Amino acid sequence: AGFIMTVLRSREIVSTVSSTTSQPPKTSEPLASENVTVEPMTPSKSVEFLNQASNSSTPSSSSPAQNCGHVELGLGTVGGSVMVIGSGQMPRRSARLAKKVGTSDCLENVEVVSGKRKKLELSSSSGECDVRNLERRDLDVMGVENSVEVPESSIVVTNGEAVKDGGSVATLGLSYEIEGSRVEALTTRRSKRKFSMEVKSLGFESHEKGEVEKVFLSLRSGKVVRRETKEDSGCGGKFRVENSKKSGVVLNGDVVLQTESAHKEENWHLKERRFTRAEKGKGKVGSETLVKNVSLPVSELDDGVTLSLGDSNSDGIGLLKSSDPKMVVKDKHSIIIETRLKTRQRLSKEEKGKMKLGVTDSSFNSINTAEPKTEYVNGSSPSGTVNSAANEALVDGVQVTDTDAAAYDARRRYRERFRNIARQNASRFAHFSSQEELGNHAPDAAERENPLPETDSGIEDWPGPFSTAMKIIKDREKNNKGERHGASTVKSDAVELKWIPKSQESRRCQKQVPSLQELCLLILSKNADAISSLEFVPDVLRHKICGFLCDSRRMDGHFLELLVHGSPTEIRIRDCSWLSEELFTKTFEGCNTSKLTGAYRLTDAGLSMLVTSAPSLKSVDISQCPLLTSEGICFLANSLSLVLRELYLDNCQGIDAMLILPAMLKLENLEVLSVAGISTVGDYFVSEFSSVHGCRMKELVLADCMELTDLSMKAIGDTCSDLRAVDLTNLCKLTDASIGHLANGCQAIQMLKFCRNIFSDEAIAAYLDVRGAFLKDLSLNNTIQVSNHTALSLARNCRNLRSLDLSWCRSLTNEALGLIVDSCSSLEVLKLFGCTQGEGYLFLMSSGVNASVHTGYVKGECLVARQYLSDVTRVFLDGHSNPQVKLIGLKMTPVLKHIDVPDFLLGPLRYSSTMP
Amino acid sequence: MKKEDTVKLISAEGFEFVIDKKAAMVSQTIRNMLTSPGSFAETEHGEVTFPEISTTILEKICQYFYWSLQYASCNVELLGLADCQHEH
Repeated sequence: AGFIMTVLRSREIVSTVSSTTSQPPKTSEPLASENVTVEPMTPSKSVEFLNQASNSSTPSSSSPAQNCGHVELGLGTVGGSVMVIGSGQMPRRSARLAKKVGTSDCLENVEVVSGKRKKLELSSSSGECDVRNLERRDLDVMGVENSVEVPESSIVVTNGEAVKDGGSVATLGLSYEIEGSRVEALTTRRSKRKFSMEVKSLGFESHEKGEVEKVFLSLRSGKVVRRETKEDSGCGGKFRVENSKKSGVVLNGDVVLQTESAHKEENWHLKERRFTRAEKGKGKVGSETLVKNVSLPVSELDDGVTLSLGDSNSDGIGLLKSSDPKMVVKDKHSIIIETRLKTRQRLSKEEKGKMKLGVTDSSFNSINTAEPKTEYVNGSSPSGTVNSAANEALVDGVQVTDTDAAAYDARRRYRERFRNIARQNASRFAHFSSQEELGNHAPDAAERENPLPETDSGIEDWPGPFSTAMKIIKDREKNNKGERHGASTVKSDAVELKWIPKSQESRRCQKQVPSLQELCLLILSKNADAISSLEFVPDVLRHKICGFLCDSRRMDGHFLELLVHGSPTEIRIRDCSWLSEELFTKTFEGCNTSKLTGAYRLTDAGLSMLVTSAPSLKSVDISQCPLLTSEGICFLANSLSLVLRELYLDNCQGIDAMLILPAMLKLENLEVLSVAGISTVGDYFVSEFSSVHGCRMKELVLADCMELTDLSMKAIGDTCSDLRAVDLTNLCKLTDASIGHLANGCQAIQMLKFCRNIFSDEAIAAYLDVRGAFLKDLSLNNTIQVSNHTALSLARNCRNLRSLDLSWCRSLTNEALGLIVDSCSSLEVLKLFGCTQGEGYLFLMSSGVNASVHTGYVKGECLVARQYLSDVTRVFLDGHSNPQVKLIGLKMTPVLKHIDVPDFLLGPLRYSSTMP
Repeated sequence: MKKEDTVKLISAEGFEFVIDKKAAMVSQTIRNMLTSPGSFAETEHGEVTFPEISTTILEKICQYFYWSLQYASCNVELLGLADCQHEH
């Protein structure tokens, strides 16, 4: 172990090494194509190297580079003599070691080694099994990491710095392979995080040094990887990102190296991560392994290694006798060592793979369970996602304990960082139980029922249309139940919803031809800079052009001037992020309406200035402005009490509803109020507000105001007889009584939005029976109890329905949907996100329906949905006579079309004309 | 083309564009004019005058009609949106 010590002192050489590392990368490039045959390095050799390295600390600046080159060149050569390489490398390594290992601690040594490993990777010196080389590589790598050079084979930044270049990563990987054991060791340590890395390193030859082995292992595919990564020249950026995000994950450069089959990017990332981790872990692991390797004979290593195989990540290192207990990567590390030890020679790919697998698996599966599984086959790595996932798992699992002294501060820091990243990423693996979430509603409902018996009875007693409808539906159910005794569900599918697709003849799916206006506007927006004047262009078209420009992010001051010129009546700019404040203030004085959604820097002072300068504001939309407080709103209300008609306060978290209530009551002409997301809105607020303004209110958005109960709905139903639009998203405390109140009280509702409510099927059906005729826009998103009753009611009553959202209503069958679509003759938009009613979800639409169907899918279900969608497409193309169904959500179809874009044909105010 | 299959569109300057009836039907206005039960003069003569539409515009409109028919009947990919735009 003596040489190790000497090696350690090469830490300060890192800088030089880093400077020289650039060279190695270059040299490593050619290696990429070379056959990476990692020759196992005999311990003795490594020892020698170490000695040499330590001895020759000075000429590191140039030698490392050369060494790297050597190493890289050595890729093809089988175990280029250690000496040969070492000679060049030695200085480098020593420098590295010196740098890395401030103290003679093994860890430092390891670190150095790890640094070398990195270097190895970078330089892709496959041939070098020399531990020393590895060490040096590590140094280089570490140095490289620090350096910003980005040769194609740029080395992963040590210490967690992002690797510049994917290619470098690849090369790094290669170098690892070449380097051999030491690298392996290092990588293994890192590879704890990097599941895939290990896999990659399968190719490593075993070296006597665990590190080398690791490196080798990881580098086995290095060649391949490098190739791949090289191709991914663009990965550099990615890598960086990867590093930053998953620094923890990048355990070892080795791990990064993925087998050929792995995604290039993944590989690349992994590599980088590995490298960055390597930084951290290297020192640790490397030291550990180094110590072990150096001092222990193969057998000894076996001890340490064996442990790792079965151990959790946290324990892995412990097995090793390394003085560094921190390295969580022990598992991998040890495993690698084991592999290395066993073979001492070139590890068979399978072996390595297994090793890797075992390690990675363990880390992947759980943080603390090490179940080595040999899934990986040489050269075949799990999908990149798996790797990344594994890596993440590793991240979680890795518990790098940094007990190093100040010498390891860097490593510690990195570890912390990686740990933090691991923590952040851990949530990704948190098990989400949808049942839990949904289950919350049920108890609420149950609870709610009890405290409001009077309301319920009120509904039941009052012989209003709603209760009548409810009774009818319930009777229907009972009858059906009675008739079909064997019916298991409340809905009587067979009886109620018999629907046969009407037209069987094939129907051409008629495409929507873009109108000439659309085409012209597109051209205009593409050439907006050539527009010299927007005079006489009607507002509608201006808005559209503006919208196109904002979407393509080409909106700028020039166009704004065009818009502003000539005292326009209305300017709508969707995305003002380019707009500076001065320009804004200059331009927008004397506004008639003001819609400042998302002006997150808007404060009360700003709002008051805006209000004072625009005293005739009729519509103010200050959604998503977190800095606004109640005083600002009060001021606004006081100044605009006579004119304000629409007020949108969505998600302004700083506002307390009770404080602004008095001000709200002063707004004499208010028609539209949106307090979505303001959690302090309660029943009292709503009832007071509606008692004063209810007669005028046309639209109420109460989404996400969780505290609301049926009482507020009763108040609304009693007072807001002219209500046109109601949004009750996420109000989980509302029960069927609310629907009753709405049905009985508000006769003119045209837009109704339920989302994640717990209304029952019958209640909704009853509501539709009563008030469905006027409905134009209905959303039953995630009201999961919607089923056949609702479908029947929809079909029967909603002739004017234009837009229907049945996303996540999985109780609706194919026939139900078909019936709905067939019967709702005005239907234009049908949203079916998350409706995966199994295969063969086909509903044919027959004549008269001209609708675009939006079906999206959630990530996890995309495969299912895709098939479903493709089925539907086929059916659509075949089966219907008139409907123009556009499936949004299929590949190649725009997904964002369903986002509500303000209708330009409407005036700025939703319910009143702007004409004075 | 037989006379019954065609429609004449007259621009502000007096240019006459004789196009297919099917093409003209792309425009809802023209379609209403020509098919409504009421008796429009246009129905009888098969001529529609647009005193406020200039010739160049009307020409482009006629091109659009034909393009729209093609678009609706053929694969979109074959045509591409550029067809109509390239004519500018």
